Amino acid sequence: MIEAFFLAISPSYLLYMTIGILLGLIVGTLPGLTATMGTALLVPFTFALPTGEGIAMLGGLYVCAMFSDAIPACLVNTPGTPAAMATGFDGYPMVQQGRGQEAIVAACFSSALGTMFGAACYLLLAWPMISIALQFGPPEFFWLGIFALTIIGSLAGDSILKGLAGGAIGLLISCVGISHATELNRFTMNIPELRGGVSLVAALIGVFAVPQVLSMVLGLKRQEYIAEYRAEKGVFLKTILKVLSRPIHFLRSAAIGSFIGILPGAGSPIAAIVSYNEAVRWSKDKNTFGKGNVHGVTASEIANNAAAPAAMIPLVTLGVPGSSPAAVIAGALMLRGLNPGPELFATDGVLVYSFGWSLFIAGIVVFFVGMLATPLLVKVIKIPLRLLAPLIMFLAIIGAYAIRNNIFDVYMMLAIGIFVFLARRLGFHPGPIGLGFILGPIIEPSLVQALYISDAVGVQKIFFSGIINITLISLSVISVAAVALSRFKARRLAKQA
Amino acid sequence: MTQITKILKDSDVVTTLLLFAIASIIYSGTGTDAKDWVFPLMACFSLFAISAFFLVKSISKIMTGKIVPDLEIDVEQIPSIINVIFFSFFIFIFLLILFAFGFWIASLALLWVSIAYFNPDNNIKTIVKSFVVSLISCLIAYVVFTHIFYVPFPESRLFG
Repeated sequence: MIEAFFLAISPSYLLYMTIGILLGLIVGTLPGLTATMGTALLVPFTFALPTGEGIAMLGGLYVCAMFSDAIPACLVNTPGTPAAMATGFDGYPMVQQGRGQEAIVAACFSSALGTMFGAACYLLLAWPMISIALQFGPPEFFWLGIFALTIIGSLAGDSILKGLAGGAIGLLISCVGISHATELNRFTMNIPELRGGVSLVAALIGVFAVPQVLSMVLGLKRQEYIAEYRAEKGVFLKTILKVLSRPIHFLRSAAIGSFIGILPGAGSPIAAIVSYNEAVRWSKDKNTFGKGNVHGVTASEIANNAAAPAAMIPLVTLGVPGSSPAAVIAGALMLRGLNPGPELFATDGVLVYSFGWSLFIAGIVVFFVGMLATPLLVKVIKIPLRLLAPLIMFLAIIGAYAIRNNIFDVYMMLAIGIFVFLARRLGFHPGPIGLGFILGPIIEPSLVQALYISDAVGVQKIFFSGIINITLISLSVISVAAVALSRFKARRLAKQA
Repeated sequence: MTQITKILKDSDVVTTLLLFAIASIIYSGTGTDAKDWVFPLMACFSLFAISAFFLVKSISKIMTGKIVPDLEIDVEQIPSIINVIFFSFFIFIFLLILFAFGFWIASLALLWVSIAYFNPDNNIKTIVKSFVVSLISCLIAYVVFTHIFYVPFPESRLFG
């Protein structure tokens, strides 16, 4: 491991990793470009490099994209990638309150910490963690998805029922396309483009960016900028101290992120959502979440960044990638004749560990790059809305098109966006709709697979037995009960007041 | 008539109708195979249940005369709504001309027209400024998306 460390801090490793990080900054910031797309596009360029430097560059891009997707999420309420959806819940209200710099610094610092924690798990705990992850089958994934859905209680706004309805609508949009059971066309209306389903990225841009832009246009007469903003001295240090002042919050978010990261198929978006949910549940000031609580930003960012290095753990231990970018990195290794898995550990342990160290160091580099870029990035707030609204819409259209080079995705994005814009007028929050759309592709395949298994052994045994299932069901019930209780208390206090 | 209009301006009533409409459309599109449809049906029945709750709430509001026309549009809001309609129209035109004229002309036109339209005091200077901003934005987007990330933007079908 020591030899691997010295390799990871060699100038060539650091140089290529930094190039990857700078590219990741662009990929994450632009809605429509995902970490998967970025790593896939970078693979051919890494062929000219030695294997270690090549995968360090890919890893750098991946972890930086997981930070930089928070920038548009905070500044214009448009997540750069699905993983930053939960970051915007508190990041954007912070920006609206003139705390844009604090939001970006918090996102950057917590991303760095999360990445380093995830990388430390990769280096030290890969084998024990993977043995727990192997206990997760379809029913466990199903309950994990249901548990993640309970966050609707925190996001619903004034009406929890409208939040639930929004979540159900999001889940229904995710059902469009070929079914998981018998490959039946569902809700495709004989439109060939819908057979592959609605693009996740395009739909999320539609849910968050389009209503935001239309709201900006609607408010142009009253408001010239997103918020008043003045650079304040000492914000960096204050924010860092604020993040460090909650070590338990950090450890909980990082542990959730790392654990969910190693579950194949779950990935950073689920990690961020579950971590945010837990941050709300364990907080003493629950009511401040969704209204600009910095710990909402940090919960999401720590977890989604911890999940990125952790997603490499099943890749190097079992040969199973934990996320889509990890699958691309697996492909890059295979193209070089290396087989990711236990064999690679045995034959090329230095490469495996140097990659882990690169991810750890990438966390530190991401922090410095983010800190240098923050003063420049927050200036977006100073752009008048009459300029910003058309520019965001332009980027949203290009982003939705870029993901599959398909203009149909742009139509879907606009249709969903206009629907959400109108639904917001009725009191629906976009969060639950986006959440349903992200969780649908996790919950439904798991449910269908579990149902197939249950044909042989019974529903009771599959869904309601086993320590993990019982734990997840209990957590879901506790989560719902806690939300119901806190809303009941808040309503009673409001009546008394 | 006035009473019906007032009822239709209550967000709970509109929510009831919207959720019921979505759930009905979805339900009518479902099939029989349990494993294919169990998940959409679960979501669909949730929507039916929530719309039933809002229906009861709406009926009780109507019976007690507590209808709140919270969706009513103030006269002051009309210029802003016109802005939204015009902007949506620009986007629609953009999508139409994107394939006819390609990325450059369509994008430049969308940005230039939108920025100039939203500018409260238009003169030659601000219009030129809008053009420069639009041109720079298109240029950056073009370089980043096509040359770094190899996204093939739609090309003009008229000019080849």
